[in-house]
Amino acid sequence: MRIGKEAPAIVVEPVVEPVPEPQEQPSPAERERPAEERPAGTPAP
Amino acid sequence: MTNAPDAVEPIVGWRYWRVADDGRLASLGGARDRWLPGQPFRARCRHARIDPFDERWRLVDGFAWSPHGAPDERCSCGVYAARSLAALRSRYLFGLRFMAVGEVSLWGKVIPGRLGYRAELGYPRSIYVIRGPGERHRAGLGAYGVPVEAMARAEVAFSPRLALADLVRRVELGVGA
Repeated sequence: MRIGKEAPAIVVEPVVEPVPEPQEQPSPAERERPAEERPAGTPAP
Repeated sequence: MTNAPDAVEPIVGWRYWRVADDGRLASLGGARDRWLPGQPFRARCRHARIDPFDERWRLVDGFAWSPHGAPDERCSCGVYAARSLAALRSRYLFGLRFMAVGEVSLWGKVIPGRLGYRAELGYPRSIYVIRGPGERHRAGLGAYGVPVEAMARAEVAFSPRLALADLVRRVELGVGA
């Protein structure tokens, strides 16, 4: 990959963090877990 | 003399990714280069991974032999991104084997080019999976905490029309690649 004729480098220091908090994602096994295997007292998703 | 930054907002570019078997984004150029949720992707030059006694690397074009950070003006390393989706779609080789496309925030040391950027740090800003085959990854890619949508491949893949328009522009400007 080439980006063409290059200009002098710049320094970018974001004042706001560009990395959001990662979202918790259930594993595929958890997503497919049948309701009856859910631990007692656990609400349905 | 101060070390004031040149910008305080990330630069936004466009790039392609593959989606690895574990559902994480990976760079097209290296299956080991995974983009992890919640962590900036930091550019590393392949110089750090080569055998320093292997003299054949001296023959590789566009590659700085001596140790350096990424990106470096003497090398071709860095996190790559195009200036726009149109720029990304104008080069055939940019998009072989891609499974997702999206905007990426770039920061740290950034080297601007006519078509795009080489940067020190990057993180996805939006992700588009390919409608149909890519949609099975859509839920998992939500882990990155950015919008995930689906687009048709024809809307994001290489475009001969855009390639021709870029060629005409280069001829008019009298510039090379």
